[in-house]
Amino acid sequence: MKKEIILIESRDAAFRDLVLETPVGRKLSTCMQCGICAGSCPVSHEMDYNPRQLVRMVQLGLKKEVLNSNTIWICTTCFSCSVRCPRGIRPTELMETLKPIAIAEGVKNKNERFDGVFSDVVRKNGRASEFLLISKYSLKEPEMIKQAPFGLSLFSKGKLPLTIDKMENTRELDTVFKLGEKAEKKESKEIRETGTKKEKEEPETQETDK
Amino acid sequence: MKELSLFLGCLIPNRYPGIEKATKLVLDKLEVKWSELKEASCCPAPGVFRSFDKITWLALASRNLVLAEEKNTDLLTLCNGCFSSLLDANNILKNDAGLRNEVNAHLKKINKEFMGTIDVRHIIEFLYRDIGPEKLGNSIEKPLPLKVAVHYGCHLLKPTKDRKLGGAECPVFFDELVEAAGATSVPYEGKTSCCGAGGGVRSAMLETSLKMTEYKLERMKKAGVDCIVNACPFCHLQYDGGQVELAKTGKKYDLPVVHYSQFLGLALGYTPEEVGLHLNAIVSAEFEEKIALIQKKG
Repeated sequence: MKKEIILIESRDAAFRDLVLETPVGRKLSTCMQCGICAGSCPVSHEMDYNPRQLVRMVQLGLKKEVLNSNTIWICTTCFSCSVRCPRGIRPTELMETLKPIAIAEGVKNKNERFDGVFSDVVRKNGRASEFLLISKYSLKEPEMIKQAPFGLSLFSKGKLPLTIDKMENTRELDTVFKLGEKAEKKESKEIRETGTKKEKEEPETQETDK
Repeated sequence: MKELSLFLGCLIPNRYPGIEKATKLVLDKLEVKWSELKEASCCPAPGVFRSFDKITWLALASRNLVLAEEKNTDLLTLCNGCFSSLLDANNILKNDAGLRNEVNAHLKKINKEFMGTIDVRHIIEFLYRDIGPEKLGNSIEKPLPLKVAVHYGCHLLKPTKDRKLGGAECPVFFDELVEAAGATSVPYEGKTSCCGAGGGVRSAMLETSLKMTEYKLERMKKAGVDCIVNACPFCHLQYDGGQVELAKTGKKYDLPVVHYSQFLGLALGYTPEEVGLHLNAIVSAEFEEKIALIQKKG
């Protein structure tokens, strides 16, 4: 493992506090670096930083390194680390907490693009279908076309239906999505502007919160 | 116990409808009362939604929960992802008054309210707790003397605190159900480890996710099993489709992948076609002949 000097300038106290104040973050300071999370993780060998390192980096406020690492995206959310942590920290939930922060900070990658496609498919159809997901995701991610022969072979054997099982009326979902978007926008704006998330106080008021 | 509403999710109706059919056949045979859950949406997928947009995740999940509450039924999931999303959302909303109020303020706009009156069940957990391996064993018509690699899948077991199904290191309840159908659950290394599909990793980082699948398949194959039995259509897809994807790099396993509903269906005398095994990418003539032979004899 290569050693890197941590410069004082790369430590971001606002980022550290933001994470430490979240439900999963409250326990992070109790981490004793035992490494059972890293040892339990089935994908740690693929990660830029393993879960143990990531926890320490959050404690140090290494915002750029944490949010740009592949670690948070490569977690399959298997929860092995979380059930074994002797301090009751749930690193899985730390990853889930860091993802929206990374997106709010403008991190762009395949996972974030896939999320967009997935949300869109669910919003319009109520349920996701492999066919719609793959075809729409291929438009954004040209290398996905590599998976097309597999899909076609299933289709030609009648194993991949082109009729899509979806909801008849998705108006309710659309309403829920709109509400979610509004709350999300507000939150990410706060993160960008102040570096911290304000405690939620006022219930959302106007319909035209842009 | 409440009656059950069947929550199918996305992957089962759109990719493995045999799991749906098998579940309905099996529940009817066992005289379990169930009904369809009309207008249910995506659970929504924990790996994508919970991680990226927690508010929308909770609101969509609570809408599904309310659909079951309105019918006064528990929700029966056939998928570890749906189980995880809906169980977690149900627990969060039952225990956190602040979040419940926030979500209810959203739900009010679609004339719904979360009350917290139902439970989220998983087919494996339901069969184990409410019917039990012994009673289930008595209703088996065609015991299947097969060697099986049981794959629990992560979200059936973890986080353990919220599921009350015991520890995640050496669980046995699923194995007992498989053995109740006359099979032998063969131990293999890495049995409780992840199939590699979750967290949006299959979709965005296929190669990484396949490395994990390969790890599992290697060890299952080495254990000399006849098939894989799983509890989740996403694990099912990862093993079934994953074998096709791995075959491109010269790795061949030919392991049939069977959801427990389908496996139980076979043990209750339904044919491989009736439980939808022909819709898998990996179809093994040898395996189906074996089943046909067992069913003819039994």
